[in-house]
Amino acid sequence: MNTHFNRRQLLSASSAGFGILALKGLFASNAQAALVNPLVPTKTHFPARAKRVIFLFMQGGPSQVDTFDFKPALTKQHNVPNAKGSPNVFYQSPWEFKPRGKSGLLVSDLLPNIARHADDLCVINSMHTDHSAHPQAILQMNTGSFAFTRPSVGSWCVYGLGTENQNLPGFVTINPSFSGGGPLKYGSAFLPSVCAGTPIGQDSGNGSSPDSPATSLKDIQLPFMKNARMDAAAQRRQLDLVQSLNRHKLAQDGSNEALEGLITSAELAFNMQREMPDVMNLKTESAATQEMYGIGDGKATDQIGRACLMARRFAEAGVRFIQVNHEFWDDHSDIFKGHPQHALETDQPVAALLTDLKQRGLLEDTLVLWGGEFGRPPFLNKNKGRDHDNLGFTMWMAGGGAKPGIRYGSTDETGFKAEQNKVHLHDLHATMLHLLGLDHEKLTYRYAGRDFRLTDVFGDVKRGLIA
Amino acid sequence: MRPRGRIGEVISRRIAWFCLPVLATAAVPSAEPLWSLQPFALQPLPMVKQQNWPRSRVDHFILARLEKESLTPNGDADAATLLRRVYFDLIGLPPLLEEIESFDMSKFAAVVDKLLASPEFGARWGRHWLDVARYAETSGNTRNMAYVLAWRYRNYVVRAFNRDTPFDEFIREQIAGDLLPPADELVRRDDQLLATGFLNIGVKSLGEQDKDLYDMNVADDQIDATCHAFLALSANCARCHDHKFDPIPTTDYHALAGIFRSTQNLSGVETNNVLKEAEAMPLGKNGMQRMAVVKQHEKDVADMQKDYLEVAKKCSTVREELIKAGIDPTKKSGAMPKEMVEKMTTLGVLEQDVTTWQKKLAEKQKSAPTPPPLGMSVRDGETPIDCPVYDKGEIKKPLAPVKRGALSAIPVKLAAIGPKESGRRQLADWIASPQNPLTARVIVNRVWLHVFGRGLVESPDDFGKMGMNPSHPELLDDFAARFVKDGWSIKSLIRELVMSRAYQMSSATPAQSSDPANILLWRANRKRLEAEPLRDAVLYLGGTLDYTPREGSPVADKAQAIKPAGREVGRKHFLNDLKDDTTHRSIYLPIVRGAQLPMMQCFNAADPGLVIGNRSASITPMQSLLLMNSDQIMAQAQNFSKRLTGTTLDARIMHAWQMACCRLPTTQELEALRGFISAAGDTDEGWTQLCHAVLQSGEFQTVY
Repeated sequence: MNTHFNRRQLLSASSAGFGILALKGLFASNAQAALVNPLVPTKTHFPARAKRVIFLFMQGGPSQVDTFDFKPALTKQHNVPNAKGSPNVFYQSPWEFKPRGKSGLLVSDLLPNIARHADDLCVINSMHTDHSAHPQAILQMNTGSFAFTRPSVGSWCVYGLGTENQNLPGFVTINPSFSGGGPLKYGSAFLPSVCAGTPIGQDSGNGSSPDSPATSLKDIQLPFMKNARMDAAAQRRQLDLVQSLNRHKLAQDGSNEALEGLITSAELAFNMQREMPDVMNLKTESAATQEMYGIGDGKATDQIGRACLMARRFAEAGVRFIQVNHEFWDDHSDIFKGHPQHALETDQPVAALLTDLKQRGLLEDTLVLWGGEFGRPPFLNKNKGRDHDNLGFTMWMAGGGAKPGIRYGSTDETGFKAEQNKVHLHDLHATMLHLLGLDHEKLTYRYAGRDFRLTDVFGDVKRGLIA
Repeated sequence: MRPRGRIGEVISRRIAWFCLPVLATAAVPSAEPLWSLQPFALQPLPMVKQQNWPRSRVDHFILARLEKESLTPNGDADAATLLRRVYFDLIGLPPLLEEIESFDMSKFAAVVDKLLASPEFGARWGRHWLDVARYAETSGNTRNMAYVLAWRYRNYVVRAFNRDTPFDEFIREQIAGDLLPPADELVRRDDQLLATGFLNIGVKSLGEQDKDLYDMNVADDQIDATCHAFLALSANCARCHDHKFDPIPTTDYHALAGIFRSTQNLSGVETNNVLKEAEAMPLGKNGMQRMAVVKQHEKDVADMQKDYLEVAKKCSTVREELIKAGIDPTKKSGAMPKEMVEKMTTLGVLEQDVTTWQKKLAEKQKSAPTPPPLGMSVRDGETPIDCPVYDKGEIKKPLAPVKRGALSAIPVKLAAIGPKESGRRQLADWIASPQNPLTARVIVNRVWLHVFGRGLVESPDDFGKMGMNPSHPELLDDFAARFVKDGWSIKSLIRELVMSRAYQMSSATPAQSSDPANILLWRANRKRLEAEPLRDAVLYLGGTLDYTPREGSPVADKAQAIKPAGREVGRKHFLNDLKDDTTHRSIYLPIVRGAQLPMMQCFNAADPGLVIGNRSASITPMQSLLLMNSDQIMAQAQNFSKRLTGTTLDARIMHAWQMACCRLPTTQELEALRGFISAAGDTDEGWTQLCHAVLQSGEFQTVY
């Protein structure tokens, strides 16, 4: 095994020692930031319930009244126009809702596998967000802002907490799409660039358009992880030379934190080359596990199955924020054909992830978050599709201190608008940070004369969501 | 001047600030007037004990402060270190080997003048400005559309720095170049127009459906960029409420918004919902007239097309009627009713007409006049407006409008704005006024930052209450006053700084110092090479660097085959496959918002979504990975190895080290490098690996 740099070694490797590291987050100055490795795990504001987050982003917007938000009133109003003269009619879900598990949470047959985990789910029926167009809503979901360049949710988490495994990036995003701001969704904006998400693969951005097919996650590799000309031994020999030159220079320089940082980081890089492909290599998983996630050539579940299994492996390996992206739930026409397809692709892998995390004891300190940038209204348009609904939709959390087996908040009679115990996107972000042990009002970064927050000037921690 | 305690107290508080995070809020918001809004003036030269140390006024201020704090300035850097330092600082490249070998300190002034006169100066310092100007070639945000003309602004900036455009003029050009008296020389006139690209290259939410919100967001970006870049104030905090810390009421914000909302953006960008950005600014000789001819021609073609289609439609109607009647219109013979014979004749005539029209159209299209070159620019809108104050920034809640104007806290009078004017010309004069307390201080500090590695004010984009106080307030004021008095010359400013004793100190760090962060400048700061000079230096060592300025951009090239509305990043892979496949200097690399090229992104190039006066300087494993494994770096290492001359192994090793680090290796270094060759092999591959190792070394990546 190669050297692993743990936190203590990193601390002692820095001549400034703990004193400097402790300053992180209190400094706005870049000159000082250079002295600090932002990936070093840091203290939370208060004890954390979750150590990491897996965000299953169902881009495009799954329909709440067809999944987790049962609305019996729709039966009565079935096929009735939603307003006078409107071409849209209220439409009850064709998928049957059944009470599941001990909690009796109502989940529809559209997602039968996730339904089996009802007792672990903390279903939020009263989500709402500011914008009803995809690009803006997607960006707001991922950065808190739809109009300006702001750091992504994952980068805030890495900035606030560092990461547990120095040989891996702190934030990975699997299958990110081009739409909704492209890489802004996992960018770091003014935060240190090391906090930005590392993308793995690329989703199409246009559903399954032949113009831009999704990158298959099978055998996927990251750039710059392997030297095309040198094997590991030759590279080690070369690195030994580089490091001896660096140490020689360091001895002459007296104190030189930047050079010390470079020596450390070159060593980490060398290890990352080995560890990153290891974590991404799913072949070491048993056939049974692969089967559980739905991995297999030609299977509809293959891509998200791989993404979810990779997510578990990253979680296990100490990555702080893992995002799995699936699109495109945007069924403006024939939702009865579209939604079952998206469900088919995601339901089994997501359920497998929950099962797997649980059996490994990881669910306890891993916050799993599922949902889209908004939802879909309870009425059907003339193309048998449901349009956009940002006024009320459903997301769920599991593990990581989220209260299991509950429904939180509710929408109006038809499921259109959040009504009771409303949870705005900013509230969700605030609550998520809270579970990670971070006060969303204190996790700030000074940029251009202002202290910025993920939640801007908004957001309330929703205690009712916390176990 | 600034009622903020004795200077000694301020310093010790600053040092304490570095050591104790509790005191990190050096600029606690208070009722005190903001230092940066007070006028500046020449300062008396402070007394120093070591009279023979200073070489310039700057040195006097620095030494006086050091002596007061009982700090000793470092000795001078050795000649080779200084040569490498001044090369990277002024042109962003390492010195030529011949220069290294023949250099001594007597030649320093001549080298400085040579570098300032070199066209590579603009490629280095222009890039610093592009960071501040949030330069990019796409709109970013939700619909990331290509700015196919943005590169002309980039090249303008390079030219402006090379010709040492006085900074006050540089300001006027960028805010109101289109409204200035036209320069005599055509190229200069085009540059005046291109300069206003500054206002236009920002982030735009081209997917926004709400027209008012769109306009306000564009104005917001322009206010943000203008106020941060020139005044180091965050005026856009006042969009929703009076600024919490600085004296900027929300009425000031909307006064500025009125100026920008009375300005039309000529971007050459079209989407299905924002059509008003579609036009672009014609350049060159008779650009406007030429554009009018092109437009007329386009209209003529469209009209002809209409006429042609009408004839064609008639023709096909007659043909269909014949077919319906069971007659094959291609066969001229055969018995048929009389009316059908007539129809056949009509068809014949119509078919003739169609052919004639087709010919005419083709000829007309062939005769299309060549359009003039285009650039991103702005012009005053037809009906200037005063912007309403939006209650809490909400676009649906407009209150009473405020008159177009500038920031009321700055004691400079804004010239009256006529009813037909946007007010940009007045705003430009107001910013560029010698009386503006911020403008000169801000740019002087930006230059200082890039020369010394740290600004006198550590927050170069924020001179407000949440920003940092200057470490040497008198020096900053004296320097700013002389800058204005001597004609706002950036090159003179840089020249004075690099000729100072302070600049020429060694960067060595003894074990103990009461000012470990070097706030008071008792030594030179070591600087890590930024993404661009790092890449440029690698190409230089590989012998493949192309010094010619790049006219155009791959963003523009790729757009050619695509209609403007389709030029969205990600769509049909548009701009997804941009590669760093040029050997031009890095300033000429394409910049796509949100998707920077890996090397630029990895080594902390400025995020073009934001005004960035001071880049982050993080050191990450991803950077090491890129240097270790990038094919491009490997290829340059190989090129580098092929350039090594010398008959002995040692001679070649020394050659490599000297080219990269500007000095000969020590005995131990030589031994290590020699040992490596004997293990890796005295072969092409072995030497490639050795050169590759040199590129990965800390010393190569650092300016000492």
